[in-house]
Amino acid sequence: MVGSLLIGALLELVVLRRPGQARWRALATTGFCGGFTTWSTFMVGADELIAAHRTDLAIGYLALSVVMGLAAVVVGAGATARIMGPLAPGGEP
Amino acid sequence: MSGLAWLLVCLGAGVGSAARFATDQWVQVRWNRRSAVGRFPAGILLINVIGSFVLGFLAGAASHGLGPLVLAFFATGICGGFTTFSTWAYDTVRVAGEGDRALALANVALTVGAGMLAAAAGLGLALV
Repeated sequence: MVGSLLIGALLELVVLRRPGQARWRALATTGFCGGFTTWSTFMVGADELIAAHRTDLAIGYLALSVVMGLAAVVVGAGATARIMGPLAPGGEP
Repeated sequence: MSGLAWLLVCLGAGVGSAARFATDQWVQVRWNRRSAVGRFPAGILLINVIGSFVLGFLAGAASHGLGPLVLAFFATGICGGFTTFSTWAYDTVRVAGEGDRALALANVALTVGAGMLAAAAGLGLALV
């Protein structure tokens, strides 16, 4: 179970590097990233940990996924900006 | 995973992702027009809460013997494709970057809180 938490966090970390790429919009972000990442499995997994009386793991799963997911966007957007120059203001995925 | 299950996941994810795109456009246009906080990603919030409820229900139904192919299409495919973590994270960072930290925090709290409750409600409904 701990392994699946780590895999989930790592996968999200890798995938979320892409949202900074404004140029690929629908295909890369809505399609690929949106399809690859999921919210529903995350929520059900956390609920099932609580149901299994592992509230500690549930809180860790929630906190790690949220923090690493948000950090990954910042890292990804920063890397893209460094490579391609800053995004135009209001640039969205 | 069998070839058929693989195909069903791909089909379901395609349907789910297209439904997410259409739902988000529909909600966000109306939200932007009527809300004082038009930048808030209300469409993705609604999508993730609905998807969490449905997946919770399917996970509960799975313990009653719902078949793996049905789950591949509806749970992994449609629910997985409909809901999204990456867009949620991107929107949260974007709103925070625009200087609205309270709105970003609200997006984190609402999506996690309402999503957890929706998934639990779905699970509970299936186990009644």
